[in-house]
Amino acid sequence: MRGRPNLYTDYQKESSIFSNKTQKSWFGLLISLAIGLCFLATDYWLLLITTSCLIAIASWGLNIVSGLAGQINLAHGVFIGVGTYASAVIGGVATSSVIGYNLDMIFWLPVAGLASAVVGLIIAPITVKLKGLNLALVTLALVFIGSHLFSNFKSMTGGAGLGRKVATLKLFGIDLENGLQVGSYYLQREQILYLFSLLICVLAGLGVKNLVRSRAGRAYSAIRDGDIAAEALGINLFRYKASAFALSSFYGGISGALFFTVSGGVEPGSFNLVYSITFVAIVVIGGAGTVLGPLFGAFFYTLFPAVIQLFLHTFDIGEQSLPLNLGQLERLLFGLVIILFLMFEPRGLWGIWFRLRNYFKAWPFSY
Amino acid sequence: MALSMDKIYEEILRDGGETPSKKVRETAQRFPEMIAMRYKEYGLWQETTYVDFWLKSNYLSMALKNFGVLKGDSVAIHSENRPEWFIADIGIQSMGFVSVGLYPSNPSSEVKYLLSHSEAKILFAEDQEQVDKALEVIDELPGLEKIIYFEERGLYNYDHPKLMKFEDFLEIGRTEHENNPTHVDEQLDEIQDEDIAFLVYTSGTTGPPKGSMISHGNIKWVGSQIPNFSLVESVTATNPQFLSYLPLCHIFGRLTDLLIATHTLATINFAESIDTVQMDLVEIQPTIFPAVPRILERMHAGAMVRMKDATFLKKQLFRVAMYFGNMGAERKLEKGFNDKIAQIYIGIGWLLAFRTLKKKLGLSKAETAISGAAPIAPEILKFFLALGVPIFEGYGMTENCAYASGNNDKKMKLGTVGVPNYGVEIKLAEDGEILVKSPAVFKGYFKDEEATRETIDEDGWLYTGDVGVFDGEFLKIVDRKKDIIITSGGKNVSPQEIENKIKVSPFIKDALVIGDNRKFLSALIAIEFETVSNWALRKNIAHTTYRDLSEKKEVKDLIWSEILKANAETSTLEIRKFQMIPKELDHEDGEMTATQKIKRNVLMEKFSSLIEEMYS
Repeated sequence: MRGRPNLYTDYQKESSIFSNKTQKSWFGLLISLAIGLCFLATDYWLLLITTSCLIAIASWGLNIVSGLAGQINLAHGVFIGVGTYASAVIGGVATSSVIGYNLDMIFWLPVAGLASAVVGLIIAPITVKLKGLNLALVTLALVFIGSHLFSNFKSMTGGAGLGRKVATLKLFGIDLENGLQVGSYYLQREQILYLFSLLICVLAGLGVKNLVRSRAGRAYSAIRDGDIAAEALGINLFRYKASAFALSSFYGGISGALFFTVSGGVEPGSFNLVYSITFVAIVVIGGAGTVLGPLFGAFFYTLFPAVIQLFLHTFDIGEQSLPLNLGQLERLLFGLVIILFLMFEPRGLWGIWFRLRNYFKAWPFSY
Repeated sequence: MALSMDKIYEEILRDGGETPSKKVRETAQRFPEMIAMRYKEYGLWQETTYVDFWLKSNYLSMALKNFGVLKGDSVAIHSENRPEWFIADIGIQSMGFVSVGLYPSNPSSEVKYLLSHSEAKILFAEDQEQVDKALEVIDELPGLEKIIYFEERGLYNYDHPKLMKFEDFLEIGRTEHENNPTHVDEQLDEIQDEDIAFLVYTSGTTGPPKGSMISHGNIKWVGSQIPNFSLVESVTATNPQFLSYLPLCHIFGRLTDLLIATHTLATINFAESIDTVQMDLVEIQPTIFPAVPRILERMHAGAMVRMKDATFLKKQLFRVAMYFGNMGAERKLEKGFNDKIAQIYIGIGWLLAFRTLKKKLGLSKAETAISGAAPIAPEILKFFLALGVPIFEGYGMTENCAYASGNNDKKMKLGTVGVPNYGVEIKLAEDGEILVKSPAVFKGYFKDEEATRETIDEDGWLYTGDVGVFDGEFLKIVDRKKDIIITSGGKNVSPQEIENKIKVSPFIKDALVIGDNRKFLSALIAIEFETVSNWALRKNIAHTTYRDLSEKKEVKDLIWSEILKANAETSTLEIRKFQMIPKELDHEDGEMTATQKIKRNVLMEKFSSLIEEMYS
């Protein structure tokens, strides 16, 4: 019925991903803008947005297990690492020190996700048994085990301090490392990476949105809100907790595989504890348990330093005149932001967005 | 697929009106897949098409015949509004049986009276509650042969031989219908204009209810007037949406939801209950909104109270919007509805606040609305006019199919009930009583010749019992003839007029003005618990029950200040004293009619000590 968005005559319509025309058109507009940006933005900003998109995918992964299913996971970085190395081995070039099969992206991208998911499943018997602080400690231990293994499987990872090159950009046999000629237009490597990341990011986001309204998504929320109650409702805790970990790792693996292709190389030291904690911070700042939150968090995390730099640059403040160097300043401010969010807006950026939206939705009332 | 409104009106003007049964049959043949009804179940609006509607009502007709119901026999329906109500009503009427509606709130003593007086053979009861009421008195109702219930919940263990499930009943009818598929059609075609379609029992503020006999000819004629009827003449949307929440056993609900909806090829959406009307309105956003003052007052009060909680900026913008809206409303009343400047004023309000406000009230798609069944304060009408939703106050009563006079977009004056409707003659008797004559005037009271003679004279004039005056061509209702107060000083006062002024206050639900043979006027006040409670919370006044709240000194002061506001508006006498009614008025306690009108004599007697206190 036109103009009657709340009149539902079937469940499909009520639970559809975009429940009304306004949402559909906003989504369409946003996608067109993002595609347009590919041809307008400078390489620097394009790279930042590409990074944001890829970090968003990993954050969604963590959000599935922590935000939706309510299971603390401090080892998300390890799952990202597994994906990265799985793709590097399958899609990377072999050298004297590391192995590599130089296969097409059509193989290495799914394998990266699946490899992480398998690792997630392997440790499931442990993670499913535990909850709260104990689970946090176990996942913390995983970070150390992961770091150790990454540093010592030299044939795969190149070893600590050295690292290796990651998978090459080759899709359906077309080498994309040097850009692509489309008709009369030449797409640079950065533009290809941007568009590809955008595509995966949109698919991943729609995936999460779909998950939330599915049977599994409802089961996750039930477990988060009370696992004993969930079990009493007939939800198989082992199955759903394990699948949450697996799905979360899958997202992490996909993100990891693509993330390091941007820079081209990866060193085992990258996947340390701080790396894993960063994702927790992104999810919290964005808004845990929401669909849009991790996306907001990822963009905030990536663009925050760039904005500080832009700010310093605009007002012509030299790095020398500051008591701290730029990296320290960024980290300090970022830490401050986390504290402020936890104190004043525990629902994160999404909470701000939610309130803003409701301010206009409730017009002319306040509730 | 559906017909445009212009085309529909053209057809009605050409072919005349029809009874609802014939209209449903016609639509089922022309637009079988059109949605006739929606009913919310499990959070979804379940749809019934016109062809299903017609088929099910045919099954019902055949089942009634199977149980020995003959032409002219009564069949009663005791239920909240829901699709089964309509299916039963159409099923009953299309065979020439007489349909009798009972209010869901009727207690079992009234159920007994209505069923025995109407001589109903079959009763359709909604659920356990209504079945229990009937079973309590079934031994005294030998004529009642079957009780058919719509909802089985709570009834699994009942084994009374007269009980039967609605589905089983329809199943019997379905077999009968398959054996004789043309029977209903033949019976429907044989119905004459003089045949009685349904009985409407007046809620009776005094004495036992009287059953008004409304004939097929009456409703058919009202149907033929739809293109000229103020409620619908300006509607343009095809397949208009109705929200059915007015009781269907009342003439107003029957007129709008059954007669007008079937004539305009509308979809009737059933509200879940009277308490959810506001939420259902938001979901349905009806095109045509028939309302009673109670609902409109509640919408107005709700909006105002929530506005008080809004942020500073929103409040200010709303104030600006209201300012322009009111200017627009005044201009519209003065210069007509097509005045461009008025439209611009209201447009400014629309931009600032009214677009979303209307959506939240469920009026964003409302093209027209009518207020009837009781008098409404002009302030409320002006508020809605400022929002851009004209509400036309109309006047009518059971005895003339609720079709007598009304405001419309060409002739509107607040505080009056408008001009006589097309085809209706209205004149005043010498004592000011309003007399109405039209083909919609009923056939008389069922089994009550004397009352009929008192109400309709030989020339066909209906004595309404209301006193009115003509303000130019506009009719203004003063009060019920028997309610007019003559003070000991000899002044004539219409209590209704003052009560309506008092009831403008969002804090006051009901008021009863007293003063007959007294030195001054006083009032009994019933507070609107929700808004007063909200007000008290904001003032940090702790309270528990209705009684506790209404007896707080602060609340009394608040009510007194509201009465003073009303006093400033009245031209006659002012209220000097008041008392709070210590309980919520209720139909089941006999203090109100089923249509939520206060019963004066009952209240005066029940609270006589409170009244005497004021005059001693």
